[in-house]
Amino acid sequence: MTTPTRREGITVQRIGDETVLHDGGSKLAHVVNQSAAWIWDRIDGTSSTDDIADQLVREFDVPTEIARRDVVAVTDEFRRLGLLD
Amino acid sequence: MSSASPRADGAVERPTHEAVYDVLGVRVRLVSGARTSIDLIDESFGVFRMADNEGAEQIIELRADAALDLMDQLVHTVISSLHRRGLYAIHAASVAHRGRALVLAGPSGAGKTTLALALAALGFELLSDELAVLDPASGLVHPYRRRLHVRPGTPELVRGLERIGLRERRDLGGDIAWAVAQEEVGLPAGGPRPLGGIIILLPRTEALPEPRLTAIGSGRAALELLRGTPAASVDFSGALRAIGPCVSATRCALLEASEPMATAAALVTWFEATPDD
Repeated sequence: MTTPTRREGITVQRIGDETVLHDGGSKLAHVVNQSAAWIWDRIDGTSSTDDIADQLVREFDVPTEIARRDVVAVTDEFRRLGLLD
Repeated sequence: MSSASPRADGAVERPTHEAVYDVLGVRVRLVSGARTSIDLIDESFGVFRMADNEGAEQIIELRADAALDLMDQLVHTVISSLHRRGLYAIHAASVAHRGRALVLAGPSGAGKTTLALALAALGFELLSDELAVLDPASGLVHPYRRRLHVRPGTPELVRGLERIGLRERRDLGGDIAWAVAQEEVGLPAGGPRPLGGIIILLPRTEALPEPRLTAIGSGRAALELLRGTPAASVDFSGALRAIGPCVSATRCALLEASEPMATAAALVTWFEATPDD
């Protein structure tokens, strides 16, 4: 369990069903789907991955283990892309 | 127009040649030290020639071998001026059918011009083979009627263009061999049309037996369009914010092309199945 924090300089643009995260530092842009965008929206520097997974369980009625696994996987990917501190 | 004048020491200044162009309301006066430079640019941009240079931006290049540099500067000036007016010049071909524009984007050499010409041979209106001028505020794609730039190999692939390949080849940069007016090949020209579809051409890596169209989301389509939009290199976020709404309202797909006329026929089916807004 971690408490992810967004890096500064990342802008968010919703385009249709997709979301574009633009890193002003690296000049890279990343297209994410609705699920990943939902998780991104809840990364606020105070919510842990378990907290976000619990919200996922409440909103979408998914099993807790699956929710935690998915949130960790998505935040790991955000970290790999340099979008998190 | 050319000019030459004596200097105070009696020597005669080298003559300069000039031409004024009005491209989508952007006025540019080119001055060159070589007549051949202006002649070469006229082959592509002659349709935009004006007699009056009032309010024109000036581009001066006196080197005799600078024709292609001069052409690049002309296009860059036009694109920058259009951006200041809120228009985005996307490196893409554009055609129109049943009142809606279809933008064909992709890297150089992916086959945008060939596909645009093939669609025109099937009755689409041709808006441009190089720049899709998008007005995000209205959602309209404007025509850009510079002469078509045709590479060797294309005339043999598109119905009605065969005789173009028999002409003397020119060096217009980027492997372009011919600048062809739309009227010369009987292609219908279109006016501004609302955006109705976006196709991203993938570079050809193998000969496909038939074309492949794969739906993509509008976020990915917007990024691919901005890849070929000079204004996005200046202000990416601003460009994405500007074009996002009209892209999100448009059906988008990746295209792996096969033989041009077969690919065009597949696109006609795809585009006609796209619902109107």
